[in-house]
Amino acid sequence: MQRRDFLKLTGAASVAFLAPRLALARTATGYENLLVLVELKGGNDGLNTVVPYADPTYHALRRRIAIKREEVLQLDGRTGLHPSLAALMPMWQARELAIVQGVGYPHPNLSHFRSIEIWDTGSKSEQYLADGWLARAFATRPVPQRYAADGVVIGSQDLGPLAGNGARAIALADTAQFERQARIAHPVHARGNSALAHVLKVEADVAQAAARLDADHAFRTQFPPGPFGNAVRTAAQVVASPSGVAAVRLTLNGFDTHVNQPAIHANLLKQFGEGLGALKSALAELGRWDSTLVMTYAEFGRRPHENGSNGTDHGTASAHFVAGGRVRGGLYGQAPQLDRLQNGNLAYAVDFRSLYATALESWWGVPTASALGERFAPLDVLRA
Amino acid sequence: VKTALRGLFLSEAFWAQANRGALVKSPVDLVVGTVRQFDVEYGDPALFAMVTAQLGQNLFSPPNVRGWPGGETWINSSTLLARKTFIDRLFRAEEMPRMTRTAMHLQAAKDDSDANDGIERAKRAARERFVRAMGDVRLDTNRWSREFAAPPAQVEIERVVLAQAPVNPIAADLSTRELLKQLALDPAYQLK
Repeated sequence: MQRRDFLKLTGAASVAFLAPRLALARTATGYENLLVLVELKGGNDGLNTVVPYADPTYHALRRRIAIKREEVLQLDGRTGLHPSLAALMPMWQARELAIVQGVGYPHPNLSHFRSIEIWDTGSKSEQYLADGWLARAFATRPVPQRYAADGVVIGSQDLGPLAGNGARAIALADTAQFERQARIAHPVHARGNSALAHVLKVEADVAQAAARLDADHAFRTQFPPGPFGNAVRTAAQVVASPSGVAAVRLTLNGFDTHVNQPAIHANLLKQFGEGLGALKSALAELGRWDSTLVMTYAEFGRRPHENGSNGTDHGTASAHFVAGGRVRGGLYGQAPQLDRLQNGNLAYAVDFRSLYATALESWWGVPTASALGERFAPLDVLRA
Repeated sequence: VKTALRGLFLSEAFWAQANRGALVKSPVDLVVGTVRQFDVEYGDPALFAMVTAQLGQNLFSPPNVRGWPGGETWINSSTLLARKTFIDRLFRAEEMPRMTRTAMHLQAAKDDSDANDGIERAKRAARERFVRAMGDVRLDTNRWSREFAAPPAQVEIERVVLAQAPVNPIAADLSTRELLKQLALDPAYQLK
């Protein structure tokens, strides 16, 4: 029996059903497990997010913009979080937050467009692929038709990892607005040339998603104000729908902090941390936190050396977060090796496709080679 | 050139049904094409640049040096709905007197945003400009149909508006305005 079917049977389950739900959730792999990707668009500064506060080189490289030792939220004797990420500390203390340091890829590209394309398609640095890595995974192992959509993209028009290959991807800003707009979309069963077939498919996807997405679940969770808080609320509404989706991609814009980084970055991380806190709370209300895996990504990190404008320029490897009820919290990967920079940039220690492999293989049971072209070992960040 | 064009226009491929409506309209094709095809009156032309940007084609600002990927990638769930919303709005513009519309939209825009930092102010200014420009848009389907020598038959209008037959069944005896609206909202209208 699938966990989803089990949940349907139990319907509006009472608290007494929570125990078996959790037991099932712990062993299941498949699309009953939700993947939430959070894109930190523009290239998040990993060093000021997960701060090597005890490293004198860090403070030397960033005389003006380093996070002060006494301000970091200490995780251990040498690593701490940016003070604006206070909302993540309960998750860290509950050991549900994994921090993977040194995530990148060989021969890094420093262009926003090219590097996000590499991340979105899961390609090698010198390889050009047309389809997103999630779209390829869904082509290999289709998401059941009863789902409202394969994936939903919130806060961005660009489908990123869900682009192409026939994925049923829905981009929306707000579920209620989507339902209103989708009234002018009608599914039709007609045949035609490939251009028309594509338009009809998208129209049918919209109509199906609109018919199956729930827009009015009442959450007790308070969602933070601002666009990212709204995106998190929308994501929670999507997950609350009985027919659900396999993946959600959220985008938080503005991480390209070349100029006057400290205030801008602090504000972005506050939105991110509070948003993730609210997501956990809302999904826990739905009984879905244990079947949710949250992963951050971005096109690149930033250069360790601050620039002349109180900011940072495009860099390479960065730290990323993996969170969820079944995540084994802690620090993973490699702490920044600031005394061994390559052309002034950090060397990577964990290939980003290992993060993807964690979602594909450990979370969904989809063979990684089919979606990523070759096998990458998943990170050991999930509890057995 | 004459020989080449003659050869081109008389070729079978040029007239083949299979080659008609085989391409997806770009946002510029769709927006400028619609404005010209239906002889839409407007005030501030920046409106249409804002719409193409919403539809994924921000003029003079392609995503990278390769330009827009184009083709079928123009259409995803978000841009398809935005395309239809734009067309729906154009046809609604005929139904409401201009002043009411502008006042209503501006009020909605004010309600949307009460933030006062620079970025929010700039966004609000852009939104107000959009709403005001949208209020100046006029689509007069009666005038449009007077361009025909004789009152056009429904089939004739379909051929003028669409590159291939409509996908959705079109009822008989529709008013010209309702017919044009249904054709413009038909999936086939996204093709050229």
